[in-house]
Amino acid sequence: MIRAAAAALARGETTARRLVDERLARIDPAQNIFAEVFADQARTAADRFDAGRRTGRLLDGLPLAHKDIFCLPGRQPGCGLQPGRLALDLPPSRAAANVGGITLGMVNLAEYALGTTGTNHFLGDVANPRAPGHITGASSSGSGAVIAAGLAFGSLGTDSGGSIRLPAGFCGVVGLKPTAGAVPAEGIFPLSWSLDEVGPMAATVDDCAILFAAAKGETAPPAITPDVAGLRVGVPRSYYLDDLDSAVTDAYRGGLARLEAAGARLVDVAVVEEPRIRSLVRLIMRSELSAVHRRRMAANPELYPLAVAKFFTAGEGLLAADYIDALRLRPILTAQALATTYSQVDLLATPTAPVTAPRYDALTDAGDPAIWAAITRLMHMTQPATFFGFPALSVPLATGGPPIGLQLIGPPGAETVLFRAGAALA
Amino acid sequence: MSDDLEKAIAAVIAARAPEGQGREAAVAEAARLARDVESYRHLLGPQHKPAVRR
Repeated sequence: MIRAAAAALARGETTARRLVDERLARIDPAQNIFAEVFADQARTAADRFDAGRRTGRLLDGLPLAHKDIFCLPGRQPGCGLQPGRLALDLPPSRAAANVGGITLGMVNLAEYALGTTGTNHFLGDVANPRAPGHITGASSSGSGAVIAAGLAFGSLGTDSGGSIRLPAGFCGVVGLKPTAGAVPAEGIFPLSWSLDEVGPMAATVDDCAILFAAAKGETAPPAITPDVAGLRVGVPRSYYLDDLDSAVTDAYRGGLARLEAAGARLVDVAVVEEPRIRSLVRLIMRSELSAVHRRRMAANPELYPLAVAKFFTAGEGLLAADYIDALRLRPILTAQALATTYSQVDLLATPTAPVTAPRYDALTDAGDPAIWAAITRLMHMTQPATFFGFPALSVPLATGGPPIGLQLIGPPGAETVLFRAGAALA
Repeated sequence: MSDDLEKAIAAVIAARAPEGQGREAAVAEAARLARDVESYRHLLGPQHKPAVRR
């Protein structure tokens, strides 16, 4: 879509102003996707582009909308609270500057980027355009929804355990958590600096690849071909396929069959993943959350509703030694994953989530242990790649109901391989 | 063992976290995480000793 739109702009078949105005006119406040819309600024930027002031960037002239956790020049992010409520002093995001384009506005997220459903206690729930009444997934809830609603060509999100991949899966769009450190993370409000990754969300794999290249500062469009001939696609022997919803199992098998029909070789493969690795992710996150938020939470408890506060409070009970041990285990277990799994396959294919998107009204009481278990289960598939720092791409699978994502995980630097496999599923 | 761990964590949280912010759930979560990281002790080498809570 991005290449076609850029070509149409270059040929004069459309204008940036038209692309902006069409999208601004379709924003539905009831969907609660945007934290703030920059209508005037977007129109001014579009008019500048149409008057010939081009930057030469890959997204030049195209409307985008990013998660409201990125600092833009002159604007601190709301981070899931009303804009301006948090006193922050972040530098402008380098990834957002690299991407360029025309920023239509900033989109909603879970408070402080901490959440998996799309619920926000301050700003309300974000609607899932592809599955009304169902959760969007989070924390990049607005990013998934703004792409699913066709209101932007791309959105930068952040992922510290599934926050790009879950909304991509539940909203039926494409999302990439890149290799650790591949995209500059400066200028975002940290959730957990050891785990936070900036990544793109878009309507197609090709669009996602273009955004990824742009976010890294590249100016040449990537060449992505749906070529999987001979590619070794790992089917995990354990952990990832435990206790799936039947609709997820069916869609997952369908996706594997499509990859095999396109020439990929399916390989039954062992994995080192197990539930304790999720604990290590949570331990690192809780510890760093506590370091970031403890003073503000003590001074301004009204900024931390109970469902959010308990994440932060757990970090107060952990020792520095626990945190250091978890960090020391990261390279050890990552080396085990590379030796055990990625010496045998080029990528690992798993569902993005073990279930289809639950309904918002089924998750209202997060104090209920059963509901809390259902919420935390959403990250079963996504947290291990975060711990290992591996790239992971969520692409939509064919379904007859709510969207379901396929997660493709590779070793560090394997994004192009993931894009090729994802494109073969389109 | 687990009671001692949870008591130790509860005491730290009580001293450091504001009232009414999910302390009970936070104690259980922190204890689970502390146990799980400790269960990987064998990977950290012979010099590694369990963390001591005072």
